[in-house]
Amino acid sequence: MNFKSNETIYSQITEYIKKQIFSGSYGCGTRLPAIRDLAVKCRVNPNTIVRVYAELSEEKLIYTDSTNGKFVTADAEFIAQKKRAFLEEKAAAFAGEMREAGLDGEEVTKMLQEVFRKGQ
Amino acid sequence: MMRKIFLTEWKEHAFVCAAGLIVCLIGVIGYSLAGIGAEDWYRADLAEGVFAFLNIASYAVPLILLVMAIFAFRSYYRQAGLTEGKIVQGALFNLFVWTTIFLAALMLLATAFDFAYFAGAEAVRGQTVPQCMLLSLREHGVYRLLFAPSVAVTMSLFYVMYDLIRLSVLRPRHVFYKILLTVLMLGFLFLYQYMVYCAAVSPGILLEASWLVPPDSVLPVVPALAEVWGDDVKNVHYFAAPILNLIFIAGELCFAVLYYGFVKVAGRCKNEMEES
Amino acid sequence: MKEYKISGIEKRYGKKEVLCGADLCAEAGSFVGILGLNGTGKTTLLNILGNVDRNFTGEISVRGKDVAYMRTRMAFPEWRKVKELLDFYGRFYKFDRKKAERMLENTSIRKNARLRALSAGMQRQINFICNFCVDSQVLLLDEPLTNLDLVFRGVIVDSLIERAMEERVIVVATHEIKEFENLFTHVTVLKDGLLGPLTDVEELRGRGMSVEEFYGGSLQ
Repeated sequence: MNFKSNETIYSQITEYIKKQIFSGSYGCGTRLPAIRDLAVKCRVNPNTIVRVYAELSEEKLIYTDSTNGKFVTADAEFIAQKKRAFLEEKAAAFAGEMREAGLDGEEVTKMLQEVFRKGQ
Repeated sequence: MMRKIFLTEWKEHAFVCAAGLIVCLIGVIGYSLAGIGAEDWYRADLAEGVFAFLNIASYAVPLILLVMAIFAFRSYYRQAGLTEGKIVQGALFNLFVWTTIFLAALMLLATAFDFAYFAGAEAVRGQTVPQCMLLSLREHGVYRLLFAPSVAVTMSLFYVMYDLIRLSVLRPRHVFYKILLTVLMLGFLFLYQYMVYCAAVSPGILLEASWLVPPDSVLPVVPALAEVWGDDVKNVHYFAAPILNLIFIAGELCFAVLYYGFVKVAGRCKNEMEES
Repeated sequence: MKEYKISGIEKRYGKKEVLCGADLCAEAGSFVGILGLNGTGKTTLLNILGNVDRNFTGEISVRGKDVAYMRTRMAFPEWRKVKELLDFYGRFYKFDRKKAERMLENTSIRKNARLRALSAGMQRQINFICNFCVDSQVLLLDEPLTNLDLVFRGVIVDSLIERAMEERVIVVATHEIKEFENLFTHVTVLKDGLLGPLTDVEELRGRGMSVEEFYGGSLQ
């Protein structure tokens, strides 16, 4: 995994897992990798993963069971809620950037449609 | 800890001892072969040559072991947390044990040679100068094996004296005090050992049991040399310590206490860690 | 052990002062990077921490067999065999010999080989394996990646990740930041004989600065 060197690693990994959860790759109740395994996979300090899981736990997106395994919450509605909030935030930030560059809503929409079409 | 150091270094010590013995064995065989079918007096000469060869080995190998002990301060011991004191103990232990082992083996070799070479040729043996047969148990009896720890004691004393001089040079901060302490230490060592030597050989105090080799060979080497100079028929070995002589034992035990005291007071290194 | 603390480490060669009061205090579980250009005294400092050099002033909270030290070159005589090296570690340290042998199986190093018969890279491999398998409170590594190919570099990084969770302190002295960047919890720069303050790496990144930038900046 490639990380940006001037952003905290834990926030980058947290975001990555959130995206996995929101996109459904990590469905409800999926067991997340063990701290050590994920640390090895990402080539980061396990303490970073501890922090990631702690943050996700605090946001109630994951929970820990009696065996200390981490699982994605079974509350699909909650996930959808969080997903909405996440995407809205992203959209707002993107919109802000576009506005700064002088584009309006229509131009942005057209551009995005192009990008998505090409991506197919 | 001494056991651990022993186990770590046994191979090189065993190698040195074995190499020494093998060289001696080669000499023995070589000389023996050279004497086949020769005249009695020639064979006697060759026998003296072999014994001389073995006697040289009895000086050379302990000296090599002493040098090995001096260079035992490896950084990997320090890494493992050994204090300098512990390393010194280990080095002394190795020096003592391997010197004893080597000399005992050497004496067995000399004895085997004594029996084998002169088998059926008693006349030849009669013509061989007995003083050179220092190491033969046939000549001197089984108790001569005590010669092995005797030399080991001497080598250990040499090492201790080296350690004292080394500390005298290293411990003081200023060059002036380094020189002063070293000179004082050298003087002390000489006087002390000479005192023990004189006390040990003074007639009347000498106990019959200290016959090992005549105490002419007590440390320091210098007084002994002075006595036997030009008198090479004497049965001496400069590395033998009269370990059965009570005066000598008492003297050297005091010496050990003084050594311990000096090390305690002077300290060994600047930033030694606590013993763990 | 709660923390690994060194204070006031000074060392001079004659008149020249190489280290003038290095301080460090790392909590258990830290992965500390000591960064600095070649020749600034990183090895000198590690030699002091690893008890190879006892000629210094200052205090160190953990020394001796509770410290495993991977040096740039091992001090063992070249004629010794790999097997004897493992014996030595087992004899003097709390050593996990089974683990070391398992790690050795993944390399091309034979236990019966003499050290002088190994290439420089293989010598570093066995150096790392031995020190890694010591159950110590502190692990010191001096430029652990030099002379090693990509495969073993990966082995080292993965092994260190495994150890990073435990309650001990890992200290790496290096100028190769890339591989260890994401493992460090803290970094400090050794410059002019002084250790800079211990900087939390994630906090650094949170401010938008990468470790490279921090290092480059400190060298000015």
